[in-house]
Amino acid sequence: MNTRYLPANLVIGAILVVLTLGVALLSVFWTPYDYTQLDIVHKFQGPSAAHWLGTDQLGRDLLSQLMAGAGNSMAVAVTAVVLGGSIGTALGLLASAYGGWVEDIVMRLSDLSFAFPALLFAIMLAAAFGPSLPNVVVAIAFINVPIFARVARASANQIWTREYVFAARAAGLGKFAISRDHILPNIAAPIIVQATIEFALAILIEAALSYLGLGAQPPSPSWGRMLSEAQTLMYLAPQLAIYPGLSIVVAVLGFGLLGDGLRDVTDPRLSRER
Amino acid sequence: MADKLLAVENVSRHYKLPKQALFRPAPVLTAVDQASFDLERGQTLGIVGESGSGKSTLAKMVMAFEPPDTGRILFQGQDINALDAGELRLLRQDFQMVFQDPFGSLDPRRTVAWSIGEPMRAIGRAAPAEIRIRVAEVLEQVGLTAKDGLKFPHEFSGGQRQRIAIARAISTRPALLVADEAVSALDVSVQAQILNLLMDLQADLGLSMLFISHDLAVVASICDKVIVLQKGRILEAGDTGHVLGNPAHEYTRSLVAAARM
Ligand SMILES: Nc1ncnc2c1ncn2[C@@H]1O[C@H](COP(=O)(O)OP(=O)(O)O)[C@@H](O)[C@H]1O
Ligand SMILES: [Mg+2]
Repeated sequence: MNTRYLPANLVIGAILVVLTLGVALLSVFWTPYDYTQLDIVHKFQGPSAAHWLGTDQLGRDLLSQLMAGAGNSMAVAVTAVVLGGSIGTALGLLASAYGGWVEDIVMRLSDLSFAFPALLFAIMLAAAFGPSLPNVVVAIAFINVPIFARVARASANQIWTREYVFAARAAGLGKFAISRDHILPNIAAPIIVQATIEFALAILIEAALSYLGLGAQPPSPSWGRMLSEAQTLMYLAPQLAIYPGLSIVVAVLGFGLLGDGLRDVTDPRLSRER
Repeated sequence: MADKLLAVENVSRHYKLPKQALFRPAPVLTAVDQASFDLERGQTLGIVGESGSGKSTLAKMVMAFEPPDTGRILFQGQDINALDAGELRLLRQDFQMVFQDPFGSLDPRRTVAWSIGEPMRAIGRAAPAEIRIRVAEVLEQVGLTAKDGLKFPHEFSGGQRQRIAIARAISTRPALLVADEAVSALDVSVQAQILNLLMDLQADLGLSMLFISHDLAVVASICDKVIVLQKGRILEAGDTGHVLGNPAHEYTRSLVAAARM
């Protein structure tokens, strides 16, 4: 690993991620306008000093909506990936530590879920439990459980063969203590890489569900909902679709690139092949 | 009767190999085949054999990392595979191990003091302050300083890391030390230092040692008795001088020749 030359995907990804997270965080404390504030007289305005990105069909400030949308999108993605990732990682550690039927059950369940397209599953869940952001969080978290279970189990299996783990066994540590003290800290890198990549997908799924009306409900701001509202106005005001579309691209691309870049620097095996 | 610390009785270990043909059963490899031997208190027993002869498998079974498929292993008269998990964990403080890879046997993310204190923390009887004192003590016993405990494994050379591993292994005052190729990864000059350290510790602490190596020269320099292992079978056993002086088998003669003694 050569840390002096950071890969381009890592650098570009990090810049986009910092930008997205910065905007999302800022939106919690400040947006130029209240994103719900209607101002019909000033609808469909172009960029101006008062409205940097202009206004939508109801005269709402576009920049404010985008910022608040970023906040929503990040909140959903963080909660869902942390929730699903923690449960999945715990299951993967359990499977790796105890093997036998525990491992069989965990792995068969995750096989089952992989046979299922993620988005389809999220749509079914939202349809069953009603459209709302919390349900989107649950759906995305659920999808993430088997993904993290696999990564955690595969990485943990490698660590279990390390001599320091045998040394810990010789010391009299049980499987739980070894998983906590040695396995988890040493699989953190692949887990974080996976989380970054899943984060990008979570943003995409949230946008898709909100676009379909299964996620964020009015007046809650969301890039996906902005897109669907802009759809009928595509010819009249294409910018209403372009801005949220671009926001989604920037966020998804940013986390995707960052995940790839992190993998390159933390997994020498893969980066050497490049 | 001599005081038996460890008794290995008719121990075998089989490994299933990956299936090679769909309708034939998976081939089975016999890594250790009906091995029996005793280790008396204060004694150093060498196990020597070429790579793949089953030495590490034997060590894993003595350490209760893996159960034998046949036979029993008695430590201080107790069948270690008949104990329940809690009893075994407590007993583990009495038999410790030094591993081959000085770059692999310490968790890279933990400080040296943390790793050395791990066996004592696992027992859960000593207060943190007592553990700190004991860690400093064993560090000095192996020729390092208490301050070295604050560092991470990558800051040490191979020989120093093996000293750390030894410090950790003796921290619980074990009766038995299993050393599997403990000096094989080291330069010859460093090998001699570590062997001397092990012999000093053995004399000072009254340790018994199961000293495993493919290198007969190393085994000869430290062991009272030696066992020659080939394809999982004990080929010959006896006093080191006797076995090496008049090897009864061609295999042993080839090991002697390989060690250039
Ligand atoms: N976990 C395992 N699964 C399958 N085969 C193994 C395993 N461990 C060791 N073996 C095989 O058992 C034999 C003895 O190995 P080992 O005890 O490591 O020998 P040594 O330490 O003397 O070099 C070798 O043929 C090895 O390939
Ligand atoms: Mg070996």
